[in-house]
Amino acid sequence: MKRAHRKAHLGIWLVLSLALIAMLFAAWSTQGAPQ
Amino acid sequence: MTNAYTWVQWNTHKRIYDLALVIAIVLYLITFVGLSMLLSQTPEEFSPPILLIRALGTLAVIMLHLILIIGPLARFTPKMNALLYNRRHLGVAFFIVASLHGLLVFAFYGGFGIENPITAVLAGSYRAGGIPFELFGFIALLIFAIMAATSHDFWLANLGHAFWKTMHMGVYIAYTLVLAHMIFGMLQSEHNILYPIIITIGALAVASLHLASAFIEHKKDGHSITNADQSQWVQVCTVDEIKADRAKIVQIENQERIAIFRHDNKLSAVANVCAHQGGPLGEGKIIDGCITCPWHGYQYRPACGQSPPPYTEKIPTYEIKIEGQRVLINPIANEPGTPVDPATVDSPPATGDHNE
Repeated sequence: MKRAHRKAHLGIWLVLSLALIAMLFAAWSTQGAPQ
Repeated sequence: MTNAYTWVQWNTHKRIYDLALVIAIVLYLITFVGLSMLLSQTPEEFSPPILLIRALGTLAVIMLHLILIIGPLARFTPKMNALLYNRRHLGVAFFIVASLHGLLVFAFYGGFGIENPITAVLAGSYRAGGIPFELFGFIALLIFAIMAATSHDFWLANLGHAFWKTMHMGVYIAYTLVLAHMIFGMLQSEHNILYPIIITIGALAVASLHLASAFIEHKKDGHSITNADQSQWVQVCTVDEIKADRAKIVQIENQERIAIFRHDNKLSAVANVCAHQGGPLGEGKIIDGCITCPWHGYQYRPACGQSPPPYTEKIPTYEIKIEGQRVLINPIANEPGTPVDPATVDSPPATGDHNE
């Protein structure tokens, strides 16, 4: 990969990891709750 | 390699892989639907279309996870390069499965033509006051459609691998949307604790593998060779660090990585980035006198960076010379395909596995 793609790859996954953690938290706290 | 384009670049290996893939997909769908009907305590609640929607959806999610872990795993072990070779076909197969899931949802919830399927599906959550999880899946499917449509060497060659790669990084965004689609959709109506556990393990595996490989590459970039005085020649390694028919990958600060290959006791320096999909050429080896990319087997002549005829790919080359045991490189890249005189080595080459 080019240097720019390596940097983008790291940046994207740092941001997405936070989004994933937030969503997983939502999944565990609302799973099965009445909608 | 790019010579004449065909719709599907099949060879014997890929045909066997695709056949095994189709068999696995069909077996999964039959098993899922069959077991669901057998184990369900209230079978009348599940119609065949709903079971098929679920079977296709879960299969698409499993395939997406496999696709996403192949890349970082290949950074950890070269054994995974064989999976990279076939990843495109797995990706297109995934898109077909995900599309069938989406089409069946639109058809089923649109009453098979009674209602407008778009409004029936996409406006459903809004009407119910919930999170529009269908929309997340729909947007993800659109992203996957663009990727599947451009998963061909024609687009790689015409868009350029840098732009193509940037565009295909959209798969990470689409993956996040798929997770949102599952968490705010299916997971809200399922009370079995196994579902959130499986989704959590999958998401953590994908995210941690990508983060780990990205940090390793970031660390390597941090160990680049400085060239503060902008010298024309920069010492990058010694001759005995490069084994026969293998390469040493070096990086000069703020530059792309360079692969220095040793073949027939001569050293040649080329860009480490394959012109096809950006594969790490320096992790490959010399086969039949050509640098061979470990990802898809694209080949280049070490002294000029050109693919052997009839192929037309080219990579940048670098001026190289040897002083004593020291290997020096001019860090300014030549135009792709520029012939450069190799540097001749006096000492016999070391043998063994490749180094970096």
